[in-house]
Formats: sequence, structure tokens, C-alpha cells
Amino acid sequence: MTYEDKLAEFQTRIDAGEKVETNDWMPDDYRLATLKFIEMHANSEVMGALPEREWIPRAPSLRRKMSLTAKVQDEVGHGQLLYRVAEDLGKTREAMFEDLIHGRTKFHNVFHYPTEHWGDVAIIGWLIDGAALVTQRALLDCSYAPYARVMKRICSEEQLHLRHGEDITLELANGTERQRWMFQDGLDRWWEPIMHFYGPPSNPDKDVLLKYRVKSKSNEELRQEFLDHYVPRILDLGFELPDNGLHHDSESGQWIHGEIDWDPFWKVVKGEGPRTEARLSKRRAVWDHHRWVREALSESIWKAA
Amino acid sequence: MTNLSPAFKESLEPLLLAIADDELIMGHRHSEWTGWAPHIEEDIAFSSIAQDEIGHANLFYTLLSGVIDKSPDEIALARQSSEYRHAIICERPNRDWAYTLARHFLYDTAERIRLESLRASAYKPLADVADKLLREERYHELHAEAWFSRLSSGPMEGRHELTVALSEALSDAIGLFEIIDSEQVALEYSILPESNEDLLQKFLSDASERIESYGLPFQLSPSESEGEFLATSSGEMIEGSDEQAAAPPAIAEAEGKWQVTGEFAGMGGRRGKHSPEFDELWDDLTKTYREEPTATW
Repeated sequence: MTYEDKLAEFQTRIDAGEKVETNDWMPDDYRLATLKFIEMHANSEVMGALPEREWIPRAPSLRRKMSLTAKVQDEVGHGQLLYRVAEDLGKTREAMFEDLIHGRTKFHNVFHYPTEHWGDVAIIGWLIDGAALVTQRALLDCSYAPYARVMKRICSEEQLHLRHGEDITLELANGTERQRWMFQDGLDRWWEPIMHFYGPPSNPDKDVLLKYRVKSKSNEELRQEFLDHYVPRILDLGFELPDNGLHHDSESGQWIHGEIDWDPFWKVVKGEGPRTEARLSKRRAVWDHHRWVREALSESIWKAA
Repeated sequence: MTNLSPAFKESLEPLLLAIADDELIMGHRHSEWTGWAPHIEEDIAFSSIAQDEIGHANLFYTLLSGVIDKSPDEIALARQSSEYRHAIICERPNRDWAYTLARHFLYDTAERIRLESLRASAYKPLADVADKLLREERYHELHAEAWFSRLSSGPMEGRHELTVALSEALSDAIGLFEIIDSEQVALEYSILPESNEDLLQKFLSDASERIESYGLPFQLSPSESEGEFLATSSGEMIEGSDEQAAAPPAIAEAEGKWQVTGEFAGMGGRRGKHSPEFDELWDDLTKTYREEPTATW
């Protein structure tokens, strides 16, 4: 069987909706693109813990302090699961972590921004987790089977997080003037990064991830799904969206966003987001200082073997 | 709770506050590792321990809220920093993984000894909580012990880091058994079945035996135990230059009895004396609550 034959057979399997397991034959571009995609997802989970965790020490009640710790713990746990899936595609977790902290690989744009107050916790828990869930649900049907299996577990936990975020949002929405201000202020700062969340419009014909059905929806489709679900809910709570061009199109029944400025997005992609360097350099410091911890762990693993 | 005598209540309050504050502040520091721990599995494990400790604090504050008629959140978050009664060791910054583990081991050992004793408390709600928590705390100690075992038998650097951190944390751990306000009354009522002095004896025996079983030294850091000596112009060595200089702290065992002498930097927490680092912690801890004290969150 020539390489071309194998490739054709692989594409036929993909098109027929079949799943690929770790030990199945796969073309190099499939392996590399899938690894890169999952690695970025894993990176985003562990980096995504950081903006939120800043509010664990400052949570306004004991109950919120515990639930926010539990929630961030889940996100780190998702990172752990995803790194394991990525490792099976041929890159060690150590190498992935080294690449992350030295800025050689990416993590999601929203995790490059600062947080200012408890309102940000509501925005992250409700809208950013909500945005992520739209993407993650679309991945349940991913052609790479181990990833799809992990996504199933992640989606069910994310569903709980969404309720946690919604709950915090409702407390603020029904609260004092200051509490309502917190949510509105958070919305004003986060709306643009949220619009950037799914990435710029892309050409589906050139997207290898779509061709191989690692992803099944384009960036624009996902963004539209998010808008149609969340815009009416946010407006219902009496908050304002910082987008003058936003309107409801009665013909399609869709919410249409105004013009998006992509410059801040590209800055983030280049690793120049407002908190990119601060967060990565602290990770590097913890990583470098604790080399002895990793050595002690690998030593005992070696002894046990 | 209305049928408790005023003297009974008065001795219960400082005791519950000390235990609850220990748990809250320790849980707060532990949770500072969430997202930053040097190892992803440990990030997850430490977040669990942090949640447990904060949950335990909540249980003790709930007991207290029945005595002083304030909500647990109000007790936990609406006080001035000098009104907190935790031991200073709980508020020390996390520094690094070695110090964190050393403190984790000593704190959870002390907590077990305290809870085991409180199971016999004449104040039944407290005895019940102590019994319930002991079961959970066992997992914390197992976690600390697994690390001690791994690091003490692993490469030199890890063993060294732990040894240094342990000697530093040990000095502060004494403060966990500092006398509590109205302790004598609490003893008379058997709310507190054993004095902190007696609990400290148990703690030192228990901790020293277990630490030495890993082949690690049970000692204060040399800079503390030796004190400071200065040379005079005549070449004579005199102790300190300040006449008010504190006596160096020391722990020694003789005929099965532990002697704890000198001034320990980790003392004073039970009287509301804290380190400057606690002001920062307090500022974080109460920040959002203070913004809108009447709000629900």
C-alpha cells in the first residue's frame, strides 16, 4: 500500500465519521495538527487558572472561597487530562511545559488579560466558560477518539462551572449598585477579548483541522452560536454591551456584532498581551526554583520501576 | 446556646476563635498554591487540602456563631487584623515547596493532637466536630508523610531543602500551643480537656519521633538557637549589643520532658500580635467583603 493509498483510506474513514485511536495509522499532518491543538487546549486550562485564582484569596464569603478553589482545581485537572492525551501523540509533558513557559507555544487569548475585581469572576465563570463550552461541545464529535472521550468528561464538569458563574452573576445583577457596577465594568473590559475568543474569520477550505474533522465548526459559526445564546440573556439582566453595531437581524433571527478590532488579538498571539509576560515569568520562576521537586519525583519513580 | 453560663461562653469564644482562625488562615495560604504549584498533580491535591481547611474553619465559625450571634462570614471576614487569633505559623508566606511541606507536616500533626484531645470536650458540639474532622485530617497527614518519605530518601538537594525548611518551621510551630485567653476557665469547665502546655509536650514527642524516623534532624535552625554574639574592642565576646536582647529560643528533651525556653518569633498570635505579612494577607482576605459589607455574594 502506498502512502497515497493509506492517506486516501484514512480520509475515507474520517469522512465516514469513524474515530481514530492512538495506535491507528495517521498521516503526519493529522498527528501534528491534533497534538498542537490539544496542547494549546491543555496550556489554556493551566494558564486559565491564573486570572481566576487571583480572586480565591479575595473571595467575599467562605462558601465562595471554597467553591472558587474547587472550580480552579477542576480547570487544572482538565489541563492534566489533556496533557496526558497530548503526550500519547508524541511529546512529553515536561517538553510541553518548557515550551509554554518560554513562550514557544500558545494559550487562549482571554487568559492574557488582567482581572480587577469580583465582577471579573462572574464574567469568567459565566461568559468565558460559556464561550469555551460552545467550542468544547463542538469537539465531542472530534475524529481523535481519546480527545473526544476526555471532552465528554470536561463538558459535564464545565456545565457545573457555568452554573457557578451564573450564580455569581445573578447575585451581582440583583445586588447593590456597586455590585451591578462590578458586572457592567467587567463586561466593558471583557467583551472585546470574548469576541476574539473564537479567532478571526477563517477559510474553512484551508483548515486542516476541519478537513480531518478534529474540529467540526468554523470560527464564525461558533461566535454566532455564542452571540445568539448570550446576548439576549445579558440584555435581560439589564446590562449594556459595549458594541454600537450590535443588532438583532429579524430575518435570520441572529444577533449581528459590529466591527471587531483584531489588532489587540494579534498582539496577544505574538505574546504581547497585557499579562502574558507577568504570568509566564512567574511560572518560569516557580518551575526553575523547584527543579529539585521534579528530580525527587522522577528519582522515586525510577526506584519503583 | 442561651442556657450556657456567661463564664462558660467567655472561655468558649477565644478557644473556638483560635482554632477556626488557624484553619482559615492555613487554608488561605494553601489555596495560594492553586494554579501555581510546582507539579500539576500537587496543584490539585493542595487545592483539596485548602478547601478542607476552609471548610473546617467554617464549621468552627458556625459553632461560634451560635455563641456570639454573628454569621460565620461576619466572624471570618469582618474583623480587624489584630482581632485574629491564629498562630503566626499559619500566616507565614508560602515561600517555596519545601517550607510549605514542612509547615504542612507540623501543622497537621498539631491539629491531630488538638482534635484528639477535643473529642473529650465537655462542650458536646465541639467534641462532635473534632471527631468528624479527625477522619478527614488523616488524609492530610498521609499526604505530608508521603512527601517526607519521598524527599528524605531521594536526591540530596530535596533532602537538604526540606531539612532547612523544617528547622525554620519548627520554631514557629511552638506558637500553635500558646496559652489562649481564659484557658484556665476552659480547663475548669473541661471545654478544653488538656492545657496547651500539655498538648505541646505531646506534639513535640510525636513530631520529633516521626521526623527522626525519616532520618531527618529535629532541630531549630542554627541561627536561632545560637543567638547573636558580638565581639567587643577587647576581643571579648558578649551576647548581643542590646540589653533588651531576647533570649535565644531552645527546645530540649530531658527525662521524657520537653523544655521550651527563650523567645520564639512565632509567639503572640493568640493575643492578636501578628507579623507584617499578615496585614497583606488580611487586606486580601477581607477586600471584597469590606467593599460592600451588607451585600450578599
